[in-house]
Amino acid sequence: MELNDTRSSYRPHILVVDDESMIREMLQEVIESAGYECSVAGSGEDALEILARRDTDIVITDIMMPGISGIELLLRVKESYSSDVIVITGYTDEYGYEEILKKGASDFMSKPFHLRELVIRLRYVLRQRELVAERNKAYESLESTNQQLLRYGEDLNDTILNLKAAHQELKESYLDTIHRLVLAAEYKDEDTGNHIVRMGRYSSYLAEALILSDKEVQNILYAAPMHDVGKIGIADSILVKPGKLTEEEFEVMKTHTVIGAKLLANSRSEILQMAEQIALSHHERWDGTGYPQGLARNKIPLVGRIVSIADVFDALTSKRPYKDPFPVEEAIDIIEKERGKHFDPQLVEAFLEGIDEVVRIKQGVITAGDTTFPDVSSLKR
Amino acid sequence: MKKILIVDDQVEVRDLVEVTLRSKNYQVLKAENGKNAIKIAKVEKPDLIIMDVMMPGGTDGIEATRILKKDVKTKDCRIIILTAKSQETDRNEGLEAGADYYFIKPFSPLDLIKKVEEILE
Repeated sequence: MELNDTRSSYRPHILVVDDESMIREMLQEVIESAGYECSVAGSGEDALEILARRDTDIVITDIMMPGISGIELLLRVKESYSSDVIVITGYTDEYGYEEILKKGASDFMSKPFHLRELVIRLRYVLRQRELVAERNKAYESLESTNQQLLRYGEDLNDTILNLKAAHQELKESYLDTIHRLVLAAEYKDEDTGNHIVRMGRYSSYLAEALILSDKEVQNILYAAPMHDVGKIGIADSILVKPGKLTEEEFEVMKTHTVIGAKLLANSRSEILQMAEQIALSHHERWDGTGYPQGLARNKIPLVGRIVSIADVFDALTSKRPYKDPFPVEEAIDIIEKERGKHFDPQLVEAFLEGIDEVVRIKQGVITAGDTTFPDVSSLKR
Repeated sequence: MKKILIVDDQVEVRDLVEVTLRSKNYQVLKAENGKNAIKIAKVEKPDLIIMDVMMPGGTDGIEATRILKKDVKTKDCRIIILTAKSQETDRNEGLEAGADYYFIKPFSPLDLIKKVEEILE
Protein backbone atom coordinates (compact mmCIF):
# COMPACT_ATOMS: atom_id res chain seq x y z
CA MET A 1 0.00 0.00 0.00
CA GLU A 2 2.82 2.38 0.83
CA LEU A 3 4.39 1.58 -2.52
CA ASN A 4 1.81 3.49 -4.47
CA ASP A 5 1.53 6.36 -2.09
CA THR A 6 4.97 7.71 -1.58
CA ARG A 7 7.13 9.19 -4.29
CA SER A 8 10.41 7.95 -2.88
CA SER A 9 9.59 4.25 -3.17
CA TYR A 10 7.70 4.52 -6.44
CA ARG A 11 9.31 2.69 -9.38
CA PRO A 12 8.25 3.83 -12.84
CA HIS A 13 7.07 1.14 -15.22
CA ILE A 14 8.53 1.10 -18.75
CA LEU A 15 7.18 -1.06 -21.58
CA VAL A 16 9.55 -1.95 -24.42
CA VAL A 17 7.98 -2.99 -27.74
CA ASP A 18 10.15 -4.48 -30.48
CA ASP A 19 9.84 -7.51 -32.73
CA GLU A 20 13.53 -8.34 -32.37
CA SER A 21 14.07 -10.21 -29.14
CA MET A 22 17.74 -9.28 -28.91
CA ILE A 23 16.98 -5.59 -28.89
CA ARG A 24 14.13 -6.14 -26.37
CA GLU A 25 16.43 -7.95 -23.99
CA MET A 26 19.19 -5.42 -24.31
CA LEU A 27 16.89 -2.51 -23.61
CA GLN A 28 15.28 -4.34 -20.70
CA GLU A 29 18.63 -4.90 -19.07
CA VAL A 30 19.63 -1.27 -19.37
CA ILE A 31 16.27 -0.04 -18.08
CA GLU A 32 16.20 -2.38 -15.12
CA SER A 33 19.72 -1.52 -14.11
CA ALA A 34 18.72 2.14 -14.21
CA GLY A 35 16.25 1.25 -11.42
CA TYR A 36 12.97 1.06 -13.33
CA GLU A 37 10.43 -1.74 -13.74
CA CYS A 38 10.43 -3.05 -17.28
CA SER A 39 8.03 -5.18 -19.33
CA VAL A 40 8.60 -6.28 -22.92
CA ALA A 41 6.29 -7.02 -25.83
CA GLY A 42 7.12 -8.50 -29.24
CA SER A 43 4.27 -6.77 -31.05
CA GLY A 44 1.89 -3.85 -30.84
CA GLU A 45 -0.94 -6.26 -30.03
CA ASP A 46 0.95 -7.76 -27.10
CA ALA A 47 1.86 -4.27 -25.92
CA LEU A 48 -1.83 -3.23 -25.83
CA GLU A 49 -2.60 -6.29 -23.75
CA ILE A 50 0.05 -5.39 -21.19
CA LEU A 51 -1.12 -1.75 -21.12
CA ALA A 52 -4.65 -2.87 -20.34
CA ARG A 53 -3.40 -4.87 -17.34
CA ARG A 54 -0.81 -2.59 -15.88
CA ASP A 55 -0.25 1.13 -15.28
CA THR A 56 2.59 2.13 -17.55
CA ASP A 57 4.60 5.34 -17.46
CA ILE A 58 6.46 5.09 -20.74
CA VAL A 59 6.11 2.94 -23.86
CA ILE A 60 9.26 2.64 -25.97
CA THR A 61 8.35 1.30 -29.38
CA ASP A 62 9.96 0.44 -32.68
CA ILE A 63 8.09 1.52 -35.83
CA MET A 64 8.54 -1.32 -38.23
CA MET A 65 6.88 -4.40 -36.76
CA PRO A 66 4.64 -7.14 -38.10
CA GLY A 67 0.99 -6.54 -37.15
CA ILE A 68 0.18 -3.01 -36.07
CA SER A 69 3.04 -0.60 -36.55
CA GLY A 70 4.70 1.49 -33.88
CA ILE A 71 2.88 4.54 -35.22
CA GLU A 72 -0.49 2.80 -34.94
CA LEU A 73 0.44 1.70 -31.41
CA LEU A 74 1.39 5.30 -30.59
CA LEU A 75 -2.03 6.52 -31.73
CA ARG A 76 -3.89 3.85 -29.76
CA VAL A 77 -1.89 4.49 -26.59
CA LYS A 78 -2.54 8.22 -26.80
CA GLU A 79 -6.23 7.54 -27.34
CA SER A 80 -6.72 5.39 -24.25
CA TYR A 81 -3.85 5.85 -21.82
CA SER A 82 -1.87 8.58 -20.12
CA SER A 83 1.44 6.83 -20.83
CA ASP A 84 4.20 8.70 -22.64
CA VAL A 85 5.57 7.15 -25.83
CA ILE A 86 9.15 7.24 -27.11
CA VAL A 87 9.44 6.16 -30.73
CA ILE A 88 12.54 4.46 -32.17
CA THR A 89 13.01 4.77 -35.93
CA GLY A 90 15.28 2.95 -38.35
CA TYR A 91 17.01 4.35 -41.47
CA THR A 92 14.24 3.33 -43.79
CA ASP A 93 11.29 4.76 -41.92
CA GLU A 94 9.42 7.42 -43.79
CA TYR A 95 8.37 9.37 -40.67
CA GLY A 96 10.16 12.54 -39.72
CA TYR A 97 10.77 13.79 -36.21
CA GLU A 98 8.09 16.47 -36.32
CA GLU A 99 5.46 14.15 -37.70
CA ILE A 100 6.00 11.64 -34.92
CA LEU A 101 5.80 14.31 -32.23
CA LYS A 102 2.61 15.64 -33.82
CA LYS A 103 1.04 12.21 -33.45
CA GLY A 104 1.62 12.44 -29.71
CA ALA A 105 5.06 10.97 -29.04
CA SER A 106 7.02 12.55 -26.20
CA ASP A 107 10.39 11.83 -27.71
CA PHE A 108 12.12 10.19 -30.62
CA MET A 109 15.35 8.22 -31.11
CA SER A 110 16.89 6.99 -34.35
CA LYS A 111 18.90 3.84 -34.72
CA PRO A 112 21.63 3.34 -33.96
CA PHE A 113 21.64 4.99 -30.55
CA HIS A 114 23.78 4.82 -27.51
CA LEU A 115 22.21 2.97 -24.58
CA ARG A 116 23.26 5.71 -22.19
CA GLU A 117 21.32 8.17 -24.34
CA LEU A 118 18.19 6.05 -23.87
CA VAL A 119 18.47 6.30 -20.09
CA ILE A 120 18.95 10.07 -20.26
CA ARG A 121 15.86 10.43 -22.45
CA LEU A 122 13.84 8.19 -20.13
CA ARG A 123 14.79 10.32 -17.14
CA TYR A 124 13.87 13.45 -19.03
CA VAL A 125 10.43 12.13 -20.03
CA LEU A 126 9.79 10.83 -16.51
CA ARG A 127 10.66 14.25 -15.10
CA GLN A 128 8.18 15.82 -17.51
CA ARG A 129 5.54 13.33 -16.33
CA GLU A 130 6.21 14.26 -12.75
CA LEU A 131 5.85 17.96 -13.52
CA VAL A 132 2.57 17.38 -15.34
CA ALA A 133 1.30 15.25 -12.46
CA GLU A 134 2.27 17.94 -9.97
CA ARG A 135 0.58 20.59 -12.08
CA ASN A 136 -2.58 18.50 -12.37
CA LYS A 137 -2.61 17.91 -8.65
CA ALA A 138 -2.17 21.60 -7.94
CA TYR A 139 -4.96 22.40 -10.37
CA GLU A 140 -7.29 19.87 -8.76
CA SER A 141 -6.51 21.25 -5.34
CA LEU A 142 -7.17 24.78 -6.54
CA GLU A 143 -10.40 23.69 -8.18
CA SER A 144 -11.70 21.95 -5.06
CA THR A 145 -10.75 24.92 -2.89
CA ASN A 146 -12.56 27.14 -5.34
CA GLN A 147 -15.69 24.98 -5.09
CA GLN A 148 -15.44 25.08 -1.33
CA LEU A 149 -15.10 28.85 -1.27
CA LEU A 150 -18.19 29.11 -3.44
CA ARG A 151 -20.10 27.14 -0.79
CA TYR A 152 -18.81 29.57 1.82
CA GLY A 153 -20.07 32.41 -0.35
CA GLU A 154 -23.50 30.83 -0.59
CA ASP A 155 -23.71 30.29 3.15
CA LEU A 156 -22.48 33.82 3.77
CA ASN A 157 -25.19 35.13 1.48
CA ASP A 158 -27.85 33.14 3.34
CA THR A 159 -26.51 34.39 6.64
CA ILE A 160 -26.63 38.00 5.51
CA LEU A 161 -30.20 37.62 4.24
CA ASN A 162 -31.25 36.04 7.54
CA LEU A 163 -29.53 38.78 9.51
CA LYS A 164 -31.20 41.44 7.39
CA ALA A 165 -34.60 39.87 7.99
CA ALA A 166 -33.90 39.59 11.71
CA HIS A 167 -32.71 43.20 11.77
CA GLN A 168 -35.82 44.37 9.95
CA GLU A 169 -38.02 42.47 12.39
CA LEU A 170 -36.15 43.93 15.34
CA LYS A 171 -36.43 47.43 13.88
CA GLU A 172 -40.15 47.03 13.34
CA SER A 173 -40.76 45.78 16.85
CA TYR A 174 -38.58 48.61 18.19
CA LEU A 175 -40.62 51.22 16.31
CA ASP A 176 -43.83 49.49 17.34
CA THR A 177 -42.72 49.64 20.98
CA ILE A 178 -41.94 53.35 20.69
CA HIS A 179 -45.35 53.93 19.16
CA ARG A 180 -47.15 52.09 21.95
CA LEU A 181 -45.20 53.95 24.63
CA VAL A 182 -46.20 57.21 22.99
CA LEU A 183 -49.80 56.05 22.97
CA ALA A 184 -49.49 55.19 26.66
CA ALA A 185 -48.06 58.63 27.42
CA GLU A 186 -50.89 60.34 25.57
CA TYR A 187 -53.62 58.02 26.75
CA LYS A 188 -55.27 60.62 28.96
CA ASP A 189 -54.66 63.57 26.68
CA GLU A 190 -57.06 64.87 24.09
CA ASP A 191 -54.77 63.82 21.26
CA THR A 192 -55.57 60.76 19.25
CA GLY A 193 -53.28 58.01 18.01
CA ASN A 194 -53.77 59.45 14.56
CA HIS A 195 -52.46 62.81 15.71
CA ILE A 196 -49.10 61.39 16.62
CA VAL A 197 -48.87 59.46 13.36
CA ARG A 198 -49.75 62.57 11.32
CA MET A 199 -47.22 64.59 13.33
CA GLY A 200 -44.51 62.21 12.23
CA ARG A 201 -45.60 62.40 8.61
CA TYR A 202 -45.90 66.19 8.41
CA SER A 203 -42.51 66.56 10.05
CA SER A 204 -40.92 63.97 7.82
CA TYR A 205 -42.42 65.62 4.75
CA LEU A 206 -41.06 69.00 5.80
CA ALA A 207 -37.64 67.51 6.50
CA GLU A 208 -37.64 66.02 3.02
CA ALA A 209 -38.69 69.35 1.45
CA LEU A 210 -35.75 70.98 3.27
CA ILE A 211 -33.46 68.36 1.73
CA LEU A 212 -32.32 66.82 5.00
CA SER A 213 -30.59 63.44 4.68
CA ASP A 214 -32.67 60.29 4.14
CA LYS A 215 -31.66 59.16 7.59
CA GLU A 216 -32.92 62.35 9.23
CA VAL A 217 -36.13 62.24 7.20
CA GLN A 218 -36.69 58.67 8.47
CA ASN A 219 -35.70 59.46 12.04
CA ILE A 220 -38.00 62.46 12.39
CA LEU A 221 -40.91 60.30 11.21
CA TYR A 222 -40.47 58.24 14.38
CA ALA A 223 -39.09 60.93 16.68
CA ALA A 224 -41.73 63.64 16.15
CA PRO A 225 -44.58 61.56 17.65
CA MET A 226 -42.69 61.58 20.97
CA HIS A 227 -42.78 65.37 21.30
CA ASP A 228 -45.33 65.32 24.13
CA VAL A 229 -44.27 62.24 26.13
CA GLY A 230 -43.40 64.55 29.03
CA LYS A 231 -47.13 65.04 29.59
CA ILE A 232 -47.04 61.75 31.47
CA GLY A 233 -45.46 63.76 34.30
CA ILE A 234 -48.23 66.38 34.43
CA ALA A 235 -50.97 65.97 37.05
CA ASP A 236 -54.37 64.93 35.66
CA SER A 237 -55.97 67.94 37.36
CA ILE A 238 -54.02 70.15 34.96
CA LEU A 239 -53.66 67.86 31.96
CA VAL A 240 -57.35 67.15 31.47
CA LYS A 241 -58.76 70.23 33.15
CA PRO A 242 -61.92 71.20 31.25
CA GLY A 243 -61.54 75.00 31.57
CA LYS A 244 -58.72 77.43 30.99
CA LEU A 245 -55.49 76.91 32.96
CA THR A 246 -54.43 79.45 35.58
CA GLU A 247 -51.05 81.06 35.10
CA GLU A 248 -49.59 78.75 37.74
CA GLU A 249 -51.10 75.69 36.14
CA PHE A 250 -49.76 76.78 32.77
CA GLU A 251 -46.26 77.05 34.25
CA VAL A 252 -46.60 73.43 35.37
CA MET A 253 -47.95 72.44 31.97
CA LYS A 254 -44.87 73.98 30.30
CA THR A 255 -42.61 71.55 32.15
CA HIS A 256 -43.79 68.69 29.91
CA THR A 257 -41.03 69.77 27.51
CA VAL A 258 -38.30 69.33 30.11
CA ILE A 259 -39.81 66.16 31.53
CA GLY A 260 -40.01 64.68 28.03
CA ALA A 261 -36.38 65.56 27.31
CA LYS A 262 -35.32 63.95 30.59
CA LEU A 263 -37.25 60.78 29.80
CA LEU A 264 -35.57 60.56 26.42
CA ALA A 265 -32.09 61.69 27.47
CA ASN A 266 -28.86 59.69 27.17
CA SER A 267 -30.12 57.15 24.67
CA ARG A 268 -27.78 55.50 22.18
CA SER A 269 -30.60 55.46 19.64
CA GLU A 270 -30.42 58.25 17.06
CA ILE A 271 -34.21 58.36 16.97
CA LEU A 272 -34.48 58.89 20.73
CA GLN A 273 -31.68 61.47 20.65
CA MET A 274 -33.64 63.42 18.05
CA ALA A 275 -36.84 62.92 20.06
CA GLU A 276 -35.14 64.42 23.11
CA GLN A 277 -34.28 67.58 21.11
CA ILE A 278 -37.81 67.77 19.77
CA ALA A 279 -39.45 67.28 23.17
CA LEU A 280 -37.35 70.08 24.63
CA SER A 281 -37.65 72.58 21.78
CA HIS A 282 -41.00 72.14 20.06
CA HIS A 283 -42.61 74.97 22.07
CA GLU A 284 -39.81 77.46 21.39
CA ARG A 285 -40.77 80.35 19.10
CA TRP A 286 -38.80 82.01 16.29
CA ASP A 287 -39.03 85.40 18.05
CA GLY A 288 -37.66 84.01 21.31
CA THR A 289 -40.88 84.20 23.32
CA GLY A 290 -41.44 80.45 23.56
CA TYR A 291 -40.56 77.96 26.31
CA PRO A 292 -38.84 76.39 28.18
CA GLN A 293 -35.56 78.12 27.27
CA GLY A 294 -36.78 81.13 25.28
CA LEU A 295 -34.44 80.30 22.40
CA ALA A 296 -34.73 82.33 19.21
CA ARG A 297 -34.13 81.77 15.51
CA ASN A 298 -31.36 79.34 14.60
CA LYS A 299 -30.65 78.69 18.29
CA ILE A 300 -33.75 76.50 18.19
CA PRO A 301 -32.85 73.07 16.81
CA LEU A 302 -34.16 72.65 13.26
CA VAL A 303 -36.15 69.55 14.19
CA GLY A 304 -37.85 71.53 16.96
CA ARG A 305 -38.82 74.25 14.47
CA ILE A 306 -40.17 71.65 12.06
CA VAL A 307 -42.28 69.85 14.67
CA SER A 308 -43.56 73.17 15.98
CA ILE A 309 -45.29 73.93 12.64
CA ALA A 310 -46.53 70.35 12.24
CA ASP A 311 -47.93 70.37 15.78
CA VAL A 312 -49.78 73.65 15.43
CA PHE A 313 -51.17 72.80 11.99
CA ASP A 314 -52.49 69.48 13.22
CA ALA A 315 -53.98 71.00 16.38
CA LEU A 316 -55.75 73.66 14.31
CA THR A 317 -57.18 71.23 11.77
CA SER A 318 -58.20 68.56 14.32
CA LYS A 319 -61.39 68.30 16.31
CA ARG A 320 -61.06 68.86 20.04
CA PRO A 321 -63.65 68.52 22.80
CA TYR A 322 -63.76 72.32 23.01
CA LYS A 323 -63.53 73.20 19.29
CA ASP A 324 -64.40 72.10 15.79
CA PRO A 325 -61.58 71.58 13.30
CA PHE A 326 -60.56 74.70 11.39
CA PRO A 327 -60.71 74.44 7.61
CA VAL A 328 -57.27 74.10 6.02
CA GLU A 329 -57.47 77.62 4.51
CA GLU A 330 -57.97 79.14 7.93
CA ALA A 331 -55.09 77.14 9.39
CA ILE A 332 -52.91 78.35 6.50
CA ASP A 333 -53.86 81.96 7.28
CA ILE A 334 -52.94 81.56 10.91
CA ILE A 335 -49.59 79.96 10.13
CA GLU A 336 -48.86 82.59 7.50
CA LYS A 337 -49.50 85.33 10.06
CA GLU A 338 -47.07 83.67 12.47
CA ARG A 339 -44.26 83.74 9.91
CA GLY A 340 -41.20 85.21 11.64
CA LYS A 341 -43.08 85.37 14.96
CA HIS A 342 -43.95 81.86 16.05
CA PHE A 343 -42.38 80.09 13.08
CA ASP A 344 -39.17 80.04 11.08
CA PRO A 345 -40.11 81.98 7.90
CA GLN A 346 -38.22 79.58 5.66
CA LEU A 347 -40.12 76.64 7.10
CA VAL A 348 -43.45 78.42 6.64
CA GLU A 349 -42.44 78.92 3.02
CA ALA A 350 -41.64 75.26 2.53
CA PHE A 351 -44.74 74.15 4.38
CA LEU A 352 -47.09 76.29 2.32
CA GLU A 353 -45.35 75.37 -0.91
CA GLY A 354 -46.07 71.74 -0.17
CA ILE A 355 -49.53 72.31 1.24
CA ASP A 356 -51.12 69.93 -1.31
CA GLU A 357 -48.97 67.07 -0.01
CA VAL A 358 -49.72 68.14 3.57
CA VAL A 359 -53.44 67.93 2.83
CA ARG A 360 -52.99 64.53 1.24
CA ILE A 361 -51.23 63.33 4.40
CA LYS A 362 -54.03 64.80 6.47
CA GLN A 363 -56.57 62.88 4.41
CA GLY A 364 -54.69 59.75 5.14
CA VAL A 365 -53.24 59.24 1.69
CA ILE A 366 -49.94 57.57 2.34
CA THR A 367 -47.15 58.35 -0.08
CA ALA A 368 -44.63 55.78 -1.17
CA GLY A 369 -41.88 54.87 1.24
CA ASP A 370 -43.96 55.64 4.26
CA THR A 371 -43.87 53.16 7.08
CA THR A 372 -47.30 52.32 8.35
CA PHE A 373 -47.73 52.06 12.05
CA PRO A 374 -49.83 49.24 13.43
CA ASP A 375 -53.38 50.41 14.05
CA VAL A 376 -53.88 50.70 17.77
CA SER A 377 -56.40 53.53 17.69
CA SER A 378 -59.11 51.19 18.93
CA LEU A 379 -57.28 51.18 22.26
CA LYS A 380 -58.38 54.74 22.81
CA ARG A 381 -61.50 55.61 24.66
CA MET B 1 -13.22 24.07 26.24
CA LYS B 2 -13.95 21.31 23.71
CA LYS B 3 -11.02 20.14 21.62
CA ILE B 4 -11.31 19.48 17.88
CA LEU B 5 -8.66 17.91 15.64
CA ILE B 6 -8.83 18.80 11.94
CA VAL B 7 -7.14 16.30 9.62
CA ASP B 8 -6.66 17.19 5.97
CA ASP B 9 -3.69 17.21 3.61
CA GLN B 10 -4.90 20.44 2.02
CA VAL B 11 -3.90 23.44 4.08
CA GLU B 12 -6.76 25.47 2.57
CA VAL B 13 -9.33 23.03 3.94
CA ARG B 14 -7.67 22.91 7.36
CA ASP B 15 -7.72 26.71 7.52
CA LEU B 16 -11.31 27.03 6.29
CA VAL B 17 -12.59 24.50 8.81
CA GLU B 18 -10.64 26.24 11.56
CA VAL B 19 -12.10 29.62 10.61
CA THR B 20 -15.56 28.06 10.50
CA LEU B 21 -15.21 26.78 14.05
CA ARG B 22 -13.54 29.90 15.44
CA SER B 23 -16.80 31.68 16.36
CA LYS B 24 -17.72 28.75 18.60
CA ASN B 25 -14.75 28.93 20.91
CA TYR B 26 -13.33 25.45 20.42
CA GLN B 27 -9.69 24.58 20.84
CA VAL B 28 -8.49 23.55 17.39
CA LEU B 29 -5.62 21.17 16.57
CA LYS B 30 -4.50 20.27 13.06
CA ALA B 31 -2.82 17.34 11.30
CA GLU B 32 -1.98 16.84 7.63
CA ASN B 33 -2.16 13.05 7.41
CA GLY B 34 -3.62 9.96 9.07
CA LYS B 35 -0.44 8.94 10.89
CA ASN B 36 0.04 12.30 12.57
CA ALA B 37 -3.67 12.43 13.38
CA ILE B 38 -3.38 9.17 15.33
CA LYS B 39 -0.25 10.39 17.10
CA ILE B 40 -1.86 13.68 18.15
CA ALA B 41 -5.19 12.07 19.07
CA LYS B 42 -3.48 9.66 21.51
CA VAL B 43 -1.81 12.52 23.36
CA GLU B 44 -4.43 15.24 23.15
CA LYS B 45 -7.59 13.12 23.29
CA PRO B 46 -9.74 15.55 21.29
CA ASP B 47 -13.53 15.48 21.72
CA LEU B 48 -14.00 15.45 17.97
CA ILE B 49 -11.92 14.70 14.89
CA ILE B 50 -12.84 16.07 11.47
CA MET B 51 -11.17 13.65 9.08
CA ASP B 52 -10.39 13.80 5.37
CA VAL B 53 -10.18 10.44 3.55
CA MET B 54 -7.72 10.76 0.67
CA MET B 55 -4.38 11.77 2.14
CA PRO B 56 -0.82 10.79 1.19
CA GLY B 57 1.50 9.06 3.62
CA GLY B 58 0.03 5.57 3.87
CA THR B 59 -2.78 5.86 6.40
CA ASP B 60 -5.90 7.29 4.79
CA GLY B 61 -8.83 8.71 6.76
CA ILE B 62 -10.81 5.46 6.74
CA GLU B 63 -7.86 3.47 8.03
CA ALA B 64 -7.10 6.12 10.65
CA THR B 65 -10.73 6.08 11.79
CA ARG B 66 -10.64 2.30 12.14
CA ILE B 67 -7.44 2.47 14.20
CA LEU B 68 -8.66 5.31 16.44
CA LYS B 69 -11.98 3.61 17.15
CA LYS B 70 -10.20 0.39 18.17
CA ASP B 71 -7.67 2.05 20.49
CA VAL B 72 -8.77 2.34 24.13
CA LYS B 73 -7.13 5.75 24.39
CA THR B 74 -9.02 7.24 21.46
CA LYS B 75 -12.15 5.18 20.97
CA ASP B 76 -14.32 7.84 22.65
CA CYS B 77 -13.30 10.57 20.18
CA ARG B 78 -16.22 11.38 17.93
CA ILE B 79 -15.24 11.38 14.25
CA ILE B 80 -16.75 13.30 11.34
CA ILE B 81 -15.45 12.22 7.96
CA LEU B 82 -15.18 15.14 5.55
CA THR B 83 -14.35 14.02 2.03
CA ALA B 84 -14.82 14.53 -1.69
CA LYS B 85 -15.63 10.81 -2.01
CA SER B 86 -19.34 10.99 -2.53
CA GLN B 87 -20.43 7.45 -3.45
CA GLU B 88 -22.86 5.56 -1.28
CA THR B 89 -20.26 2.78 -0.94
CA ASP B 90 -17.70 5.34 0.28
CA ARG B 91 -20.16 6.55 2.91
CA ASN B 92 -20.86 2.99 4.08
CA GLU B 93 -17.16 2.28 4.30
CA GLY B 94 -16.66 5.38 6.44
CA LEU B 95 -19.51 4.56 8.78
CA GLU B 96 -18.42 0.94 9.05
CA ALA B 97 -14.94 2.12 10.01
CA GLY B 98 -16.64 3.76 12.99
CA ALA B 99 -17.19 7.38 11.90
CA ASP B 100 -20.08 9.15 13.65
CA TYR B 101 -21.00 11.19 10.61
CA TYR B 102 -20.08 11.45 6.93
CA PHE B 103 -19.85 14.86 5.25
CA ILE B 104 -19.22 15.41 1.54
CA LYS B 105 -17.02 18.17 0.05
CA PRO B 106 -17.66 20.84 -0.93
CA PHE B 107 -19.47 21.24 2.36
CA SER B 108 -21.77 23.90 3.74
CA PRO B 109 -20.00 25.60 6.67
CA LEU B 110 -23.35 26.30 8.34
CA ASP B 111 -24.28 22.61 8.18
CA LEU B 112 -20.86 21.64 9.48
CA ILE B 113 -21.13 23.95 12.50
CA LYS B 114 -24.60 22.62 13.22
CA LYS B 115 -23.39 19.03 13.08
CA VAL B 116 -20.34 19.74 15.23
CA GLU B 117 -22.48 21.40 17.90
CA GLU B 118 -24.96 18.56 17.78
CA ILE B 119 -22.27 15.92 18.21
CA LEU B 120 -20.46 17.78 21.00
CA GLU B 121 -23.59 18.60 22.97
